Amino acid sequence: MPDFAKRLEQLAGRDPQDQKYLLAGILQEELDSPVVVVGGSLVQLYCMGAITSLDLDIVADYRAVQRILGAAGFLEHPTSMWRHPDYAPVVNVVAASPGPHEKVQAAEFEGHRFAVVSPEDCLVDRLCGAVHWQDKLDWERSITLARVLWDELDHKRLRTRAKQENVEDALGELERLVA
Amino acid sequence: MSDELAAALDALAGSRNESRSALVEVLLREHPVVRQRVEQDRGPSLRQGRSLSKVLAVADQGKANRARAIREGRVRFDA
Repeated sequence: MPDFAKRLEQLAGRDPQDQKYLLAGILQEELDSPVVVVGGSLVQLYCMGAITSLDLDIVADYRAVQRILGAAGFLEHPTSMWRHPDYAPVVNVVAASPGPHEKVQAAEFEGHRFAVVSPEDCLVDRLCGAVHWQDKLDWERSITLARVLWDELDHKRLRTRAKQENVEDALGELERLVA
Repeated sequence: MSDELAAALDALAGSRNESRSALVEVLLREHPVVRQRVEQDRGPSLRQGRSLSKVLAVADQGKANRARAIREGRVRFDA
């Protein structure tokens, strides 16, 4: 398999949004530990463009990511963020491991595999932003995500997760809007 | 985001040794006036104050895109 820097050339000329998921997959192929796509970039992946996000937010082994991206010409900013001068994605390592209640599952983008948190966890994460940060954009993302995924969600687990994060009232309101 | 605003944010972010997105996060959270201006300049998918019907219409387009991408094998999600 070509080295990481060589495989990064697959990103050239691609839509900046697609570059994020290609990069996640290429990074995963390089790492023994999981690369878990989370946050706004996962909302975008679940909604296929209905929402856009600037960054590739991942949960991953910070040291391993630092070693690989640094060797491939990515420049590190404070707060665990990297950017390559030739490519669009800003890689943001938000944590070393998923939350204790979060469920991780597999995803694939154009043949590149990586991990994601479940749709229920992704939705509850946005609801947390809407409720605890009073973020109206996160409320809008919650509505969009719920509308797209409503028929596929594990609603029992969704209610449990919402209760754990103290956003069950917002989930009830969301249900009235989109169900 | 307009080119003018992006350039201004890049310059400020560079002086703070931060990325643009990290700076925007701080501005959005801590400065309501800046937040309002930034969001006015963002694309319609992130603009506040949109009607529910518009949000749902965009979501329905996303749902159709998702179904097509899965059908064509472009993306896959395994439970």
